[in-house]
Formats: sequence, structure tokens, C-alpha cells
Amino acid sequence: MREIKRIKEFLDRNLIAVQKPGRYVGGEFNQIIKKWDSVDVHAALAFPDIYDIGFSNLGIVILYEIINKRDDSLAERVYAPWIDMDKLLRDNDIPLFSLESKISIQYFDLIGFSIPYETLYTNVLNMLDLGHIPIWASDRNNSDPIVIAGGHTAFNPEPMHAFIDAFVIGDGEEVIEEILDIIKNCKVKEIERQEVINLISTIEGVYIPSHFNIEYNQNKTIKKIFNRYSPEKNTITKRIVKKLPSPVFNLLVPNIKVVHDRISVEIMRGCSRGCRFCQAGMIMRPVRERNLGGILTAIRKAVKITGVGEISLLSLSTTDYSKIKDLLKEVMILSKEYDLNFSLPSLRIESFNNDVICEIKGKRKGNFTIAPEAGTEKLRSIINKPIPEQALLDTVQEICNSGWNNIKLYFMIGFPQETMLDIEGIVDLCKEVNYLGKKSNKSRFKLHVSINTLIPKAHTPFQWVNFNDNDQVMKKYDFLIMRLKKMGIKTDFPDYKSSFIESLLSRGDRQLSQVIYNAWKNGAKFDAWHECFNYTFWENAFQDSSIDPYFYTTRSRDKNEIFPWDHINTGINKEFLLMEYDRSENSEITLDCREKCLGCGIQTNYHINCSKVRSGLV
Amino acid sequence: MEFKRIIISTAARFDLAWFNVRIRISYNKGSPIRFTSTLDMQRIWERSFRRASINVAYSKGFHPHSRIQLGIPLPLGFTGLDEKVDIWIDDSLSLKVISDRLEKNLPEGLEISSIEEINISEKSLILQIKYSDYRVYLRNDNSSPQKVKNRINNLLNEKEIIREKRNGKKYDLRPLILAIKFNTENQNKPFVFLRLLSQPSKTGRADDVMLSMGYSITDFLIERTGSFT
Repeated sequence: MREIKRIKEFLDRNLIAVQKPGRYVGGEFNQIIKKWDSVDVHAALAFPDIYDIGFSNLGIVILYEIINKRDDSLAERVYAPWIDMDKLLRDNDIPLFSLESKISIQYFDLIGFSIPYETLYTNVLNMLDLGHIPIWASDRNNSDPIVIAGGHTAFNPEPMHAFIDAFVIGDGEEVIEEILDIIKNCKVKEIERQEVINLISTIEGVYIPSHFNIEYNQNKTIKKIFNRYSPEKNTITKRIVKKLPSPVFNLLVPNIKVVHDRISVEIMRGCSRGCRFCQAGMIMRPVRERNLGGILTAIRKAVKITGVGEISLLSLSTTDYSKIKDLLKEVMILSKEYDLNFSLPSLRIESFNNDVICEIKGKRKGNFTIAPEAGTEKLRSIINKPIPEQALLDTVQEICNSGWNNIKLYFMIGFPQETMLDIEGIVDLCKEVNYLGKKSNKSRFKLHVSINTLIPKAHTPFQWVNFNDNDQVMKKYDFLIMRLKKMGIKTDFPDYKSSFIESLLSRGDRQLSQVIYNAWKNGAKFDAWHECFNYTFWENAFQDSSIDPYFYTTRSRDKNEIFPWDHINTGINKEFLLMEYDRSENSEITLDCREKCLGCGIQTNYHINCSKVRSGLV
Repeated sequence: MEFKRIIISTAARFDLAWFNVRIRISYNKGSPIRFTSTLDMQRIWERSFRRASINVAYSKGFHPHSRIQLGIPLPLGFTGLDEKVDIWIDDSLSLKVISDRLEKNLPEGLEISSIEEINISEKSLILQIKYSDYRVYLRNDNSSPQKVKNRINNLLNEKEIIREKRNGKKYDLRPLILAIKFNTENQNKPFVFLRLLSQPSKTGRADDVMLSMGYSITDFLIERTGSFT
């Protein structure tokens, strides 16, 4: 039945021949296996990259817990098999299977993909194909699962519209329960697949691309987006949970080494800073903080249940947590009591002070990462991440004094109005930081600089900005590489072509489904992997589908243009984004909206009070 | 709360090192944990002990780490019937309590068969072990007795068997093979019995023996039945 025996025999025999076979066996401590026939609804939670990367994905962790808590449902996990396993599966005609029960994913009622970034798109197609599920949504019939996608990329769903039956826009905690309820009812009544999808479309925050039609202008921009299924619902509003539920502590413990092998506790969702390039900061509003007691309880329980001694406190901007000092104090007590190591990503300079540094003096000092993003104060005002140079250097001094020897600086190039002076600013800043570090910690100090290319994202004030062309980017990179190398600073740069594809997909429209399909047919998968990315697959795909990639990337957008994602409502009004874009043109800083509401739209669109929601009072 | 621990600083623990108890756990390693490498097993044990609320002692030195010493590495994919691990415990718990608590906190495929306390200054397992025994179960399509015996005889007739290690270095496998025999006592589950040296720089790999007999890596399943001094 359901090929389980054949799959298990295949694994027993062949796993020894693949790299890291532990990726495909499951059996982790705390894994939940339910009897297939004991529940009504079967959900496969899929992450379109390998186990090592997908294991800690918070979206999957949360949904796994919620679904399996229900008596009427089960959730099992599936990740993209690496190239060697992919070939082995195909050669032996073995379908892609879930880790828990080793059941071919085609037998599940729904497959939920978590897709945090665009370079995973070809892997989604590949996984469907490996799972013997028709890649094009229009080719699926009653026996096929409903394919759902969520995560940040769902905020511009159009490039993947042809492959996904339903997108969940925003927080998934409540939506998933509603979807399960509908599927369960429909199974009892033997309702047709298309009708199930139609019913799911009534859930707030769910977008069914096949219900929408697009009309284009002569110049290929969009003329009109409309819902032909429910004409009164021409926009889909992002779903939010007003009060965050307790963090998941019943976590799985991997049997092999994975990326982010630690307990991740989300302390806060959303960010009120308003950096103009940052998509997460816009689409995850309003800010919701978890209460201190709840966080500490979750950490204690998770440590007890998993035995994992590494903890990471997640948020977009940890130092903006209102009780950060108390949190850090408590965390340091826990750390001593249970021998734990804490990592605090996303610390921000401007909300950082000596007290905080003192609190996080742990026993092991890893990297300290700072993200100034731009090299000059002027450009930092344009992108609305205003950090005074002196404050930055003071912080670096403080960090060095506290004994950190490795500092990592993040920058981006390709911002609007950027000049070579700003690029020189990056060099100067690195020079200063390097000088301070060497002065304090002598030869042990290491500076690592990572420089990315700005990829303008949908739903941000920079959604109108053109992606830099190859010549512009290369000129800046050449300049930086030469000077930073001379100072002996380790420097990372992304591959331009790879950023180009990400930029294309980030602001793409429906025409790109054919391109993604062709690229995958040509051989594209694991596009996020340097060693797998091959631009030729994409170049040929553009030609085969007669698509001009520059239309989506380096083209400047008119301020009146209707964007392919305009029917997805994040709660932030387009007028606000445009106002922010205009302010960036005048180098005007917009303050953190905790001080004063700027009318982005969140409060009125959701009828909420941001400061109440922030503190969990709803 | 059930998660009580004696709180002593890492520095104080060093001074109490004499106070540690060293225990040796004998365990079975089956599926699916057989696909966890020896390197990753260190972390598996560390976390299992933490879940069981048993304090593992810390090593001295600049980067203190929990004192867990695995026996002779079991290659990825092998099952093991009598594997050993030494652990220095910083708790005054009885072996029975340790065993009970640990049992509930092990991942699927790990099973404890016995726990004993051993002398704190005993030499490490790796230095004590001389050889290991293996059973190689051939998949059905490969186990015709005459064919297997022929291959074994051919192998034993070789003067030297040059194989390549993972790091590219060549070595002679022949002198590392102490015994090899086809065992058909249980007709439903015949196996090739192998006894190979297991000493630092003189370790024979059971899969290498099978490969040099002309089998392919997917033809068999290897179980280590024990390692001996």
C-alpha cells in the first residue's frame, strides 16, 4: 500500500551510496509519527532545499506542532533531496517520500511549501516532479494533493502562480487550522478538488491565483488585476495573528549536523524601524512582542525536552525588544545555570549600549556582526538606516574591549543615488574598524566584510528602484575588492548573475512561470547554491519564452505603474511606500514609528492599536 | 522543578575532577541512527545526557567540552551490537538511575545493553582494542554459497590487497584481515564472518574487504558484533 515497502527496501539498500544518508531517514528525537488511517487529514510540510538547511525553518517547525496537535490530522516533513539522491530516486523510479512514514507525497491531502526566498523556486518544481505530482496546477486532478505555499515569497506570488493552488499570505498559525477544517469536511462529503480550493479561497489571507485575471498594457506593464471568481474581492489582505501564541518548545533534535542546530525562540515578530530596502520590516508589521516570562519558560522547556544547549533569540531587531535588558540578564542566569550558549542575531547599533554589551559577555565569543549597509551617513539616511559614524565606531571599540576578536560587517551596493563617494565610504569605514580592532586586540583581530547587491523587493519603498546593471556593479566591486584586499580584509561578494535572477523573480509577474518551468527543464535546481547555479539554464529559458529579463530587473518603474503584487495587501498602503520613496530621494529620515504613528496603514487596515498589539494587550 | 542541578562554575569543576565517575556504556546502534557518523555521535550522547538531567563532566583546557569518549569509530551505515562509549559523570547517581533516565532519552535506534563504572585512569578504548568482529549480510541475489566461498578463497590467496583510503593514501588490506568465513548455520540469514585489526593506523574496513571481493556497496549490510582487547 502506498509503496511504503518498496521505498523502505530501496532506502535500506541504497542509502549507503549517497552523501549524508541521515538526511533521508527521519527518526529524530521528538519526531511525531501517527498511524496514517487514524486521522482524516494528511499534510506534508515541504522545504525546497536539503534537510540540513530546512530542518530549522521556523515556519515548518510551527506548523508541524500545530497540525500534529490535532487529533484529526497529521503532518510529516519532506525536504529536497540532494543531487545524488535525486538521481538515485529517478533511476529507481522511487517517488519523493515523507521522512516520518516514508509515504510518497502524492498521497497527502495537502503539501505545504515554505518558501522564504526566490532562488528556491526551481526546487519546488523539482520536488513536485519527484513526487509524481503534475507541476502545472491546471494539470492536477482529484487524486492530487492541494499544493499550498507560504513564507515571504508569497507576498509576490505571481511568478509561481501556475504551480501553486493556494498561497497563504502572512502568519500561518490560524490559517492552517481553517484549511484543515475545510479539507476534513470536504473529505467527508467527497467534494471535488476544485470546489475544495474554492472553499479555501474564503479564508482571510488565502490567495488562489487561478481565480484572478490580469490585463496588460501595450508596454507589458499591468493594466488591471481582478478576481473573476469573487468580483468583490480584488485584493487579498495579509493574515496576522494579533497576539503571538507561545513559542514552540517541543522541538525535534537532528541526528546529523544541520545549519542552525540550536533552539530558536522567536521573541518578537515585525519591526518598526522602516529601513527602506527591507522587505521583512514592511511585510511583517505590526510589531508583536512575546512576554518575558513566556520566552524564559519556553527556553527552559525546550532545553529540558531537547537537550540542546545552544539557544538563538530570533527577531528582526533583537535590541528593540522593550525589555531587552531584563531579557539579557535572565538569559545570562539561565546560561550559567544550564550551561547554555546564546546567540543574538540582529543587534542594532542605535539601540545598543554598553549595558547590553556587558550583559552578553558570554564564555564563548564568536562573530560579532554589524550591518551598517551603506558607507556614508548620507546614504544611510537615504535608505533610512541612520547610524552616525561615531556611534558605529564607539560600538566597535566597546565590542573589541569586551574581547570579541571577529567582527563581521554587512554592506550593500546598488542603492538609489549611490555615488563612488559612498563606495569609498565603505572602504574608509572598514579601514577605521580594522584599525580599532588591531589596536585593541592586535594580531588576533579579524575583520570580515560581506557586500551584497541591493535586490529591490516588492512591498518596500524601493520597489520602484531599478536593479544595478552588470557594469555598474562590477565597477563598484572592482573598486572595493582592490582596496579591501590590500588591507588584508576578508571580503565576500555574491555572483552578479545569481543576484540578477533573484532580482528578476522578486518583482516578476505571471509571465515568469513559463521561464521558471523552462529553466528547471533545462536543468536548474538548487539555484541558491553557488556550485549548482548555472546562468545558462536561465538564459536559454528567457530565449525559449521570449522574455526580456531586463524588463523585470534594471528597468526604472513609473510611480503610477500597477505592480504584479498590488492585489496583495500587506496592510501598508502603497501611498505610504511612495511617500517613503519620495523622502528617500530627499535624504529625509523617517523615525521609528513607536515614537509617533506615521500612518503606514496597519492601524486603520486592521483596526488595531499598534502599541497595544506590540505589548500583547491587543 | 524536576530540572535541578548543582550549580558549580566551570572553574570549580576542574578542581573537582577527582570527584568524577567514569562509566562505560555498552549499546546497540541500529536503524536509523546507523546513518549518524561517529563525529555526530558525540553530540547525540551529550544531548541525551542533558535530556536525562545527568551532568557530564567537562574537560580541562582552554575550550572545555564534555568528556565523552567514543570507542573504535563505527563507519557510517554499519549497525553495531556491542558498541562502547566512556563518559565522565559529574553526578552521584546510581548506575541503575543513570540507565533508567538515559533509556527514555535516546533517539530511535540506540539501545543501552549495560552500564558499568570503570577506573578513572583506565586507558582509552581506542588504545586498548586490538581487533573487531563483523557480520556481513549479503542481499539475497548475492548469497549463493558456492559463489561466496569462491570469492573468499580468491581473496585469501592474494598476497597483498592494495586499497585506497578516503584521503587518497594507499594501504595493504591483506595483513589486517585476521579471519574470514562464510557462515550458513542459519540458512535464512547467512553471513560472512570477518575479524579485522582495529588499531590506530592499522584498521581494516569491513566494507573495503567486501569491495575488494568484487561486491558493490549496495550488496550488503554490515554489523559489528564486538571489539576486543
